Amino acid sequence: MVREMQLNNTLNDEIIDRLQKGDREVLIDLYKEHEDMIKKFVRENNGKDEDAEDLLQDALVVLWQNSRKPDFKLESKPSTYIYAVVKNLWLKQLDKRKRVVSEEYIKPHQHSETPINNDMDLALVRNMLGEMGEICQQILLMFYFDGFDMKTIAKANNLANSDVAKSKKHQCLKELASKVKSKFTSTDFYGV
Amino acid sequence: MEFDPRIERYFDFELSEIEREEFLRELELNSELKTQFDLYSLVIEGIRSEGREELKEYIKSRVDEQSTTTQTNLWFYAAASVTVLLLGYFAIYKYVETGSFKESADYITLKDEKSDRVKFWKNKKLGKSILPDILFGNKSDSTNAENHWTDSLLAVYSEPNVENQTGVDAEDTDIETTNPDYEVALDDQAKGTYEMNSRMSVSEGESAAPVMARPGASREKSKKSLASDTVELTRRTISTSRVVAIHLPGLSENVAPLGKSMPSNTQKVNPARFTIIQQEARNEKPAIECQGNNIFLINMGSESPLMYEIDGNFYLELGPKNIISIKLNVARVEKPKPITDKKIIDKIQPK
Repeated sequence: MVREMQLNNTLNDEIIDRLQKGDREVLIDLYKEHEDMIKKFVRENNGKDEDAEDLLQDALVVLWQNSRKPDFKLESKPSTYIYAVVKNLWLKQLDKRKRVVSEEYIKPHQHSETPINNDMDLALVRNMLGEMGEICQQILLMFYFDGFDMKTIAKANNLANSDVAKSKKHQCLKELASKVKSKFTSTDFYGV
Repeated sequence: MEFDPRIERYFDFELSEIEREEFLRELELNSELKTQFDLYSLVIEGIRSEGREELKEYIKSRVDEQSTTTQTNLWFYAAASVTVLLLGYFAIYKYVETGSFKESADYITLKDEKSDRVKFWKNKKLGKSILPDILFGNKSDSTNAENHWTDSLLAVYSEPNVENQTGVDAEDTDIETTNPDYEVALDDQAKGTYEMNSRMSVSEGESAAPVMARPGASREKSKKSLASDTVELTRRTISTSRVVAIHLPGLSENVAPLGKSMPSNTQKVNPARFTIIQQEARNEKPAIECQGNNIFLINMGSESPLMYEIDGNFYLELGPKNIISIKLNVARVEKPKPITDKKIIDKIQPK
């Protein structure tokens, strides 16, 4: 029992180490290891294999992003963690599907009181991001999506130091915000 | 328009607790600040959304790529097996005709040789005790406890009166030192108590065993240096397979389509036999060495190399599009390059 726990800890440490170093291949290993388990779960819960594949990818993205949070610790086995995330995501999706069906009949055009970044707006931002320079895209993604620190970002992008990376990130974000703003009318944002 | 710097700092978790509370209070009252805040919120969420999609796409493509590779490998092994079965278009006629693997095998021995030594080994993992009976009807070979047999579908042949030399994939391991001045005596190798890939000290008192000066080695002349030397032990894995080169019709040779009558001249081709000795050894570059019909493959990494004969030339198939032209009795060639002749490649690995 103790030995099994030690083995799990070693395994978890290795996975966390690879995740934190930004080794994306660890996600592929985890995908292959858990594919059958997740497909079985989704099939047993009114889903298809495609749903399972999508959910597993989503769960791995969550793991990837969380792994760089300072307090992140993989307390359980990776399979337990992934299973829990998938289960949560799948229940949310089922709930959303149910609500979409009922809302179509009950309240089709109700506006929300809070700003929602809808898919079209996000697609526009993504397009604008794609039009930016390679370095800007890389820095913004590494910081806001991957969650890397400035030192790592500076090293990966051949920038002198973390201060240069931070200043570059600020410049890129401002540029992207200006680009996106120019695509919206003044009434698209609240209070204007 | 100038953006409020606090917005970026808020999203980057750089505001202190007090600054954060003040900022959120102001956000409720200041509509222009709220507009900027919503814009930044959208932009950052957009970046994250792009990251998520890109990573999901990466996972998907890598998983697909790996499953395609696995399928390709499976296809390749299946194709290789089938290719051997076909044996260059002419054994297949017999196989199709009779449906008998044995008859096809007999056919490839070209009968006039009256040889019972050329056999086929079909895709099964066979225990060493039963293999010789199945292959050659020679129980004496089963006494070789060191050999083991893996699966494949190869044309193999036995050499009479040479014990433990029959069959495919007879594996063995040699223990060597990386220092040419020393060797591990064969008798001592059998003791098997070495930690591989580690360095071993040689002192005067111990020099006789397990590591000893190679006869004629320069170090042997000087006991002084021998007494204070170290050597590195390494392992050389050797596997031997014996194959009959698969004759394929020459580039100018007309071949009747499957099911039609076979060109008569193909029956007269004598099968060329090769012993392929694969060696895996550390610190050595990939190389091929041909000594007569013995072909040494050093660190070339192929599971079931097959030999082909086209127009009297020999080719060694190591994997998809990895076919090496073999010149008999040519000394060591390091990092041999695969052939690029499309016609030959298509013959050996038809699309």
